[in-house]
Amino acid sequence: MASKRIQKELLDLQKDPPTSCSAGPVGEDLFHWQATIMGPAESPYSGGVFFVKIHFPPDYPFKPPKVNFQTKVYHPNINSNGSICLDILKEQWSPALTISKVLLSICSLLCDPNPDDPLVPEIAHLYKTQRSRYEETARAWTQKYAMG
Amino acid sequence: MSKRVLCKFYMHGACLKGEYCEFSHDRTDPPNNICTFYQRGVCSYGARCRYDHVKPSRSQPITPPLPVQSNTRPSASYPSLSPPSSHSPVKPTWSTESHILSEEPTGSIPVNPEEMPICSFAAAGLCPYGETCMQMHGDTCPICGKQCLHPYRPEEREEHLRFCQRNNRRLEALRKSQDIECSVCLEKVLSKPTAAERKFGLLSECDHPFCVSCIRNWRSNSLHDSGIDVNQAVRACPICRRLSYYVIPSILWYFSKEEKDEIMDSYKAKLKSIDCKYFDFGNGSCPFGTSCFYKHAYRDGSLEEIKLRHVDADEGSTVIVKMIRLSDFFNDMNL
Repeated sequence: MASKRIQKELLDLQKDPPTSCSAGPVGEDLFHWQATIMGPAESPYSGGVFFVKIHFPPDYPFKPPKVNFQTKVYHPNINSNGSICLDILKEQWSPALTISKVLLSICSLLCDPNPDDPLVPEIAHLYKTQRSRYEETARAWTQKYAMG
Repeated sequence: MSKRVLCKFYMHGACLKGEYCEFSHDRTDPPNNICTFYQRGVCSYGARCRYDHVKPSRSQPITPPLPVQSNTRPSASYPSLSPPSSHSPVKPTWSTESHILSEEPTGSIPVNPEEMPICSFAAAGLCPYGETCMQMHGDTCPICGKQCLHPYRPEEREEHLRFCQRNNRRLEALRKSQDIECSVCLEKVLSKPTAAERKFGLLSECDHPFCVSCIRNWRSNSLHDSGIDVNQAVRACPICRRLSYYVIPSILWYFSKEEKDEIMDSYKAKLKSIDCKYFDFGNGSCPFGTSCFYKHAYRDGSLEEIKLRHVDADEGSTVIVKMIRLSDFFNDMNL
């Protein structure tokens, strides 16, 4: 069931690729994917290309996939290990979600951080109190880690 | 002759012709247990066939239902019934059906048209004798296009038309259901490999389609050991997150509210006829109580009486008291 559905998702991604991201398996193993996300234009991550590692559990899609950033990101909901705090990857997961929808949600998380449910409280605090300083740092990190 | 041979269909409890059947509906009459397919050459059931595989004896000519040259057949103008001359006295019973009229009083004696059978070849789609057939051909059914409407039996006509209409609706629904995809496995539900998987799971509160196996799998508790809230996330539709408390299996998808209601009602009616294993004829107690879909009946057939205990609660409201179960106390103790 799991590999069949992953194969189907891969086929759909190739047939109709989303505009700001791409994804595919690393090597032969269907259960390990790598994805790239373009930093959304209207965010401080604009211009950056972010690598994301996706690991499918054996009982996918009944369990959510594990998604981690491999590129360093300065974001209230993404920590230094690349872990993402996103409800649909945890308790709000639904088997009707696909990788393409998950990547799209991560894109919108980059645009609109959720400082009320932070993974890195310091960044969330900065985001809430001094927005321009947060944007400055985020842009600098993007320049340093996600470009070239 | 045929009246003395027991009807095969009646024998298995399924003769649709009832009193109009040309074979005997008296179980004391001998059945004709010879497999006609075997006699004609091939029976696809082989050794598993429920009929006897006997080679035709030389005295039994096998008359395949092929058109006989019309000049060798007596001009068969119904209802002046002249017997076909070329038939030997011993024939397999299946062939008597098409020549049954020869056994009836013939000639000038008028026959009540209501009692006359219609040609079964024409009713099945094609009569090899065509215009020259000795038997009455039925009127063409406007739905299935077969000549199967008996001109003189109005009830039978009605029944066939009703049956045909229902069948047609079902086929149409089945055709439309072919394209419906399950949002969990992303496959077309009716294209799955095994018959058990080719079933939809309907949610009571919304109209999103899933395979019954996919949605049941998602709702089963065993998968959700950590994090996911069973009452909220799991009982919710994976697409719209509306809560549904049960899943209805169905081989057809629905395209209107009436169709959905029909599927749900027939499913519930079916469950209501099955005895609840928790209630166990009154020996056990069912955790679903009055909401149980299964039958709560005692051994003598009487149904369980529904007794609701009302208790006045705060502010004048009334609360229905549930049956107290020992397990409720254990749950509260957090053992």
